[in-house]
Amino acid sequence: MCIAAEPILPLHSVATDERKVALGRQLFFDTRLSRSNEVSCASCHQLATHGADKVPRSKGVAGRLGDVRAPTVYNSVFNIRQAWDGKAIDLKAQVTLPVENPKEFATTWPELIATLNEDKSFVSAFEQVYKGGLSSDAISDAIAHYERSLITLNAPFDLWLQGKGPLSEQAQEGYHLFKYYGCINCHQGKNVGGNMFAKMGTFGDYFGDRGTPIEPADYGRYNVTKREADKFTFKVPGLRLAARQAYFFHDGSEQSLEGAIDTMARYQLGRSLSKAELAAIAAFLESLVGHHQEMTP
Amino acid sequence: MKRNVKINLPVIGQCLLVVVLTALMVYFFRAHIATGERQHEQVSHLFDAKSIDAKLDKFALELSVGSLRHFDELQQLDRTLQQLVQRQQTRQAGIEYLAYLRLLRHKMVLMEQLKTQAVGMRNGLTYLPVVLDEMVASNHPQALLGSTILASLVTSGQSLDELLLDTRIRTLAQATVTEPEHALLSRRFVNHIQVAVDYYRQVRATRQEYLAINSKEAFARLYRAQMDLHGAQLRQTRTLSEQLFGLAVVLLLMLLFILQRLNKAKNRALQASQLLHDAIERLQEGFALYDSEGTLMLTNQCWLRHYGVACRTQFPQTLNEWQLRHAEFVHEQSDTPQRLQKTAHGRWLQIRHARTEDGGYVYISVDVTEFKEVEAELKTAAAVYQATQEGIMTTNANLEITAVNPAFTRITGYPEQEVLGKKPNLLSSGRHDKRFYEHMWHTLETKGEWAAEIWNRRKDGTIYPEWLAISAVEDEQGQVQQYIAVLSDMTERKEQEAKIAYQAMYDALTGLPNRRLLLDRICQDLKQIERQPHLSALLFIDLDRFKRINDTMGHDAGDNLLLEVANRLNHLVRRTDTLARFGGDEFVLLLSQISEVEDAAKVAEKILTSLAQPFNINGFEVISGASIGIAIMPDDANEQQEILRRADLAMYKAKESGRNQYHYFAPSMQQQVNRRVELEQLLRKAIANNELAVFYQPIIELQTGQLYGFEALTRWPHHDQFIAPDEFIPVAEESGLISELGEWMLMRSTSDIAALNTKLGLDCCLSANISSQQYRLGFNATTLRHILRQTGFKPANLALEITESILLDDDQAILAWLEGLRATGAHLSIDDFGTGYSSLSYLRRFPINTIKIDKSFIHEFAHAPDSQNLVRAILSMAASLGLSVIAEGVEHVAQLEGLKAMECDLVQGYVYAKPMSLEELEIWCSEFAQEHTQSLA
Repeated sequence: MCIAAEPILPLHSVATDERKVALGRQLFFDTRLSRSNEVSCASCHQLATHGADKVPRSKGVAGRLGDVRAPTVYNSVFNIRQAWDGKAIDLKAQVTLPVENPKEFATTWPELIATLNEDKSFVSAFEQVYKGGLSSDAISDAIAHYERSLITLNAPFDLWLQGKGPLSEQAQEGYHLFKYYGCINCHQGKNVGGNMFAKMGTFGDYFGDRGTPIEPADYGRYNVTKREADKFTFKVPGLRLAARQAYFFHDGSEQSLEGAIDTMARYQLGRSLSKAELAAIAAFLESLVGHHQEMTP
Repeated sequence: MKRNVKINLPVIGQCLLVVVLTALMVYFFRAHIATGERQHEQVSHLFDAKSIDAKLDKFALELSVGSLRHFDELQQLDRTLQQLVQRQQTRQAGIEYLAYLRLLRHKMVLMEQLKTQAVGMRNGLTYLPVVLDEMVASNHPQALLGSTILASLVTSGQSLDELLLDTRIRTLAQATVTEPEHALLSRRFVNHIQVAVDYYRQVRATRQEYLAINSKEAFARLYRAQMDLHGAQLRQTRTLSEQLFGLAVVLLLMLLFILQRLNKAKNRALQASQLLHDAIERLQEGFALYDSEGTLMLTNQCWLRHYGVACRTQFPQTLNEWQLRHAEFVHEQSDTPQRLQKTAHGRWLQIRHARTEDGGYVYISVDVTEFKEVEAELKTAAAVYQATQEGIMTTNANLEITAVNPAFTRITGYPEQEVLGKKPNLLSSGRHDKRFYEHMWHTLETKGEWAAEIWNRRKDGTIYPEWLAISAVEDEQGQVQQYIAVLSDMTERKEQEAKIAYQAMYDALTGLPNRRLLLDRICQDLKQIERQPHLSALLFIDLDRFKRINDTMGHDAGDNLLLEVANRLNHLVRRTDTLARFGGDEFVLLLSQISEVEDAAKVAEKILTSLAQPFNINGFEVISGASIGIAIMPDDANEQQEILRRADLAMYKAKESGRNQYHYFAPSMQQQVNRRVELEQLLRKAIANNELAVFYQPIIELQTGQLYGFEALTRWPHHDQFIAPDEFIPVAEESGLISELGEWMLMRSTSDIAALNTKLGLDCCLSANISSQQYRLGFNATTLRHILRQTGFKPANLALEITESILLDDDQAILAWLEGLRATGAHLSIDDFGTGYSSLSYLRRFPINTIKIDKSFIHEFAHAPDSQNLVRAILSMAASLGLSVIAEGVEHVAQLEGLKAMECDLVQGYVYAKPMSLEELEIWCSEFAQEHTQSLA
């Protein structure tokens, strides 16, 4: 088996600045980033589990619920754009979104920086790393650097792919089905997705069948591009930690992995899968979970 | 301190211009480089963008044919484009480039859509074969139609006849099937194929849109624009380069101009500096300049010379060093306001100094040594004026006395206050007439000074002689300002002069006129003879024994004798006669105006009688006696020196003919003198030409008849005859030639006899004469030893014959001389014994070995019994003293026999042989030896 010929590639780490990573980590866990110090990045992106929340909609400041399900921060560096609708062009640009989002940190950069400026040791630590000291750009950059370091390595599948480890027959069968049924068309690359946009509900009316009213967030990519064709189009999520998720899809409407696989097969591939097939694919997805020091094994 | 700051506007302007030009150059140069860098960057971005474009096209192709397995690379491309766009935002970029980037972003957006659409299309198509299989398996009535639709989809690809496809799908969808399973399959088939077709259409539309984007042309535009830009930049660069070059040229010219100006300024400064140096160097004063730090900046040679320093480096370089080394240069320093310094080399300097504007010092030294000297001279002059023995009086042009010195007062008796303002004629004695003073004033007017002896009157009325010297002092216009009179009292001096005049003419001892006055008197007498012919006589008187008295009794006794002689003579002369002391023991008497020649003889006799009387000198009775030579004027001579010389000659004649005699001068005497002078010249020549010869006369031992030795005798062959030794030996002695002659003779004879002895195997002695003059001329033992060493003659065989007269002086020096000669080993022999004052005492005292009996005794031997007795006495005396005796002049056998009977040792004479030349002697010796042998036999 040749890796290069495979549509999925093993994960690898990317270059980071250790000092910036350290600062970024501090910020990532710092609740001072939010108004009234209620939440931090880590509140919704729980690194110990899978870098995302355990609820369908995360709570921001004052318990306000977010519009979409919080995606994982693990391996987010490999995403083509950040956020479901691809609003942020990259990780650094993404930082501003939760800060200024009234449903999330609900603050402004000046306020945030004023708050952080009170911490002299924090300020001096920044001044040592960034020429301009503490600034929105520096904070964004530091957090982005930290997020760049959040890559889950050495997944059983990756090891198997490189001929370094075994993979269960069920998982192998799952991988085969994954490719055979066409899941692979969207979920490919090292992050098993994340590098393109696709319409939710190619076969069948997903939103119609959902039973809940369509919200503005459901328009997805359309909110960014305003193209009619982009309506209901979302960034295809990477499936590296899908096996660990509590809720699925942008709206968090699905609660089980196999249910999510089944939904995907129905609406995206226009077919139905047997239980065995679902289990095989689930086993395959399970083998994609790698390791990170922040994450509980 | 106020400072004049001169702002040199042109210089500042030039400097500013240079700075501006340089800044421009730098700016242009940097712009030049920046242009190049920007160009490079732009081209690099251009190609980055082009690369993205190409990759996009590649991915688009891969997407459309479905060969792209994953989109990671595409995503990477997206990110690269993002970065490019971000970079573009940070810098200015051309419109074309922005347009191109926009185009690329549009392509990327289309690519995103294409991705979604392609995936949708693929998801639709992927399931179709599975559904068709299921339709065939379940005998679906539309399975065939489905197969054709799928086949046409697969085979026809994109050029699918959509209308036909639509018709078929509609047919399949509308065909009624009874089985519910068939209906589900039909729905699924149709559903998937509709999705696929739907997405296919979208893909086609997107692809068409993608392909419609003419990125190539955009790039070509961009490239062209870039190239235009580059061209423009190149042109700009060229323009810049040209401007740069122009600027550089302008700068260079400016710099040259400034340099030239600087150079000119420097030259001017240098010139000014040289001018200053030259000016300072030409100062007669010393000059030194110190800066505010006290460092020596400038000096001239004069300054260094003043302190005795050759070059500037030897002089202290700072004021501090000057303080330290002050004593090295300055020996004395006055605290007077003039600030005088005496330098190490004795110059007096006046030092002035001033502060310079910059806080330094300038020093000026003036050499005032001469002023000091003049000052000292003036002081000396003043002291001299006060202290001199000369009276000094100054008057103004109106002859009013302005000053007199103490000596003036002392000489004239007038104190200063009594004479000031008065005329000098108050001193006038009245002894000088009007003409005297007229002459005086005339001399003063013409020569400016006058001096003469003058009689003046003192205050007390006494008249005295004074030496008066007057100088007229003139001002620059030649007008007499004052007169200075120096006067000295000549009273004493006059007396002294008289004394000196007397001393010049009279003998200090005897008070008699001296030689000078005598000559004067003779001269006067001779002049008188010319006017009034008469006879005068000159008596030259010489004391006979004065020398012996002087030597034995002392000079005091000699002086007393002379005084007594003068006294006696004075009583014998007339007042008109002049008795003078001529020198030593010589007196000259000028008898002026005698009536006849015999008068002189009478006076001479009186004198001889008088001086023959014994003198009582220091309690001793002394007999002197005198010899007198007489010359008559004008008969014998009419010239003072000549008449004196002739009287002298006559005196010598008198002395020769026995003492206590007088003698008139005779012409023969002069002839004799002339002959001696002639002989001396001939002898000198003969010695020089080696014309003299030595002859030898054998000496025989009387008792044995054997040859004893030879006497050497000098012979002077001249014009075929011999000049007698009696004649030329005295001449040689008088002229001093005897010294040379004697030594030559000794050298020659010792050499000859030494050779003869060797040749004939003899051991003969040699007798050679030594003159007493040789003693006086320096012949001594050293000379003798030298001669003997040279000739190799045995000293014991040599006998030096001396005359008795030399022993008469009885001198210690003579004794020492003789003892010296004797010490060489040579014998001493007394020649001509018996003719002089033969005395036993000297034979005992002096180291004599042999005496030679004078031939006069031998001649008279035969017929004069006295002579025989005398010879016998001599022989017995000699025997008693242990001296050997030689009898010379033995001519006859009778004499020989007589001498033999008296036991005389040695004989010499014609009875044996006459004096012979060496050659003859050699022959004679041989014959004599033969005869002797025969007689013995």
